[in-house]
Amino acid sequence: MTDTFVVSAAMVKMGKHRESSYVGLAAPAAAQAIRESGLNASQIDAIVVGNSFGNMLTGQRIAKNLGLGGIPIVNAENACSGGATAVHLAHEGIQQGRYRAVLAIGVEKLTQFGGGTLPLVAEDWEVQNGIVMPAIYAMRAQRFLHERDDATLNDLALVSVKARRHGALNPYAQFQSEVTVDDVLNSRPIADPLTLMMCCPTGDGAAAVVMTSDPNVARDAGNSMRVRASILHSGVFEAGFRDMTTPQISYDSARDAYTQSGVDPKDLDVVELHDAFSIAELIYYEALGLADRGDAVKLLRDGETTFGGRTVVNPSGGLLAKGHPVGASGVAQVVEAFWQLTDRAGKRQVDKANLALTHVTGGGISGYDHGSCCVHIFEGV
Amino acid sequence: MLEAWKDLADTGRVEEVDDGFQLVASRCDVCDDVAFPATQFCRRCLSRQVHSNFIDPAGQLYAFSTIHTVDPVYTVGYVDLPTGLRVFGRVVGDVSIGDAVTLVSATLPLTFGRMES
Repeated sequence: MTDTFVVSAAMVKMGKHRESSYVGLAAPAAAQAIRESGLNASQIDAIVVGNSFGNMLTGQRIAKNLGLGGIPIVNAENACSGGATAVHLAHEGIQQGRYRAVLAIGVEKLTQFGGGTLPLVAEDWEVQNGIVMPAIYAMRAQRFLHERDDATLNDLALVSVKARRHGALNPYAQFQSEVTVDDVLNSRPIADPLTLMMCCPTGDGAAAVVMTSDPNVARDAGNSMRVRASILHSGVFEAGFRDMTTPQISYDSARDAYTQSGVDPKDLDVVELHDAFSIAELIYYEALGLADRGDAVKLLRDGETTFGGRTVVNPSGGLLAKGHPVGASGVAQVVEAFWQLTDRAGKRQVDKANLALTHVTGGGISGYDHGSCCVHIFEGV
Repeated sequence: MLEAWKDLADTGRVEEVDDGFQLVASRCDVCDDVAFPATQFCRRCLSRQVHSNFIDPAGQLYAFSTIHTVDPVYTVGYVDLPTGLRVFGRVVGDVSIGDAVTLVSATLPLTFGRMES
């Protein structure tokens, strides 16, 4: 069986880059990833670009600034999973033997909307009736606090405190300052019970990786990582009752990733999961098998998901601190995994990191818990 | 001739009846799947044999949240109906999880409030 190696990874610092276009965000990351791969541009066989709001031909606009053209370029839209979908498609193309080396990019510019919540699809019935992404997560949080005897608002704040503490160690993070539980609880309300600091910020960013099946390229590039699992799921429509503390699409995607890789979740050293809102991290501990059902709050409070714990969750600061430019996030997580597994993560390096999982899921559409979910597992080589 | 479905013109209707309001859903003649907003073919079996079906909007409030990012603030929530459907809408008044709620208006967006006991 063919292996897929991630041989290089790069991203630009996330933040409000109002003077940068989609090209201005993505081209520096893509060029850096190509340079560090040891390949020249003519050896890139295809490009896949995850984005949701870049408009027509985002990938081609980036490619023409990199001396790339004539090869297949696919623009992949899958909401918050767009970037990870690009990585997934690159992996599939390599596995099928169609390509030897693929450039996967994720890019998004959210400051173009001037602020407020993420614009959703106006054709959707719930959107027409006033749903916004923070409200979806807020209702999950409300149910979680209602159903779990041990869970308090403080725990939702603790997730943000941890994210910001990790982000303070990451020069690529949008927020690089620590906050306290009181800061989080006293920040302005967004969608009850979620406050501003329990929500990911509006920002811009881009990330890129070069993936290849060629072990010689991997060897020449130095340390790299191997894809152990790459899983993409869509949501399953449900017209009636749905348990909002059980994100089925994430459970299903994680289960398939563990089956494909043979990896036990207890053996993961690093997890970058979709903490778009602080409640998400708690329910995804359970969905990803890091905690048994009912034990998410205990896992957090015991410090098992920060440095020194069993599995460091979101060492980058996650979406809450590093930022969440929708289509960029899935690739940015893979960049963090690459840095962690190749011992290049600087002050936030997880000791002896060898196995990493990345997880993004997104989209607010009536009847789905989420529209799309993508889970990857990587091993350092 | 296959016609496009005018789903933007005719969804999520509410009818006023003697003692309140009813949701205009659709029901499949073949497999009995009920949909709200109404559909013009069955999403479960793709049959085109679907007809309007009035549903009592009285149900139980599953979850709700007040959104503060706009002025004035507003509250949204999910209501579970005895028919098995979950309906999303605005929520008005002082409410708690599990409250019995129903539609309080015939106009969109759908607006739920506590049932008068």
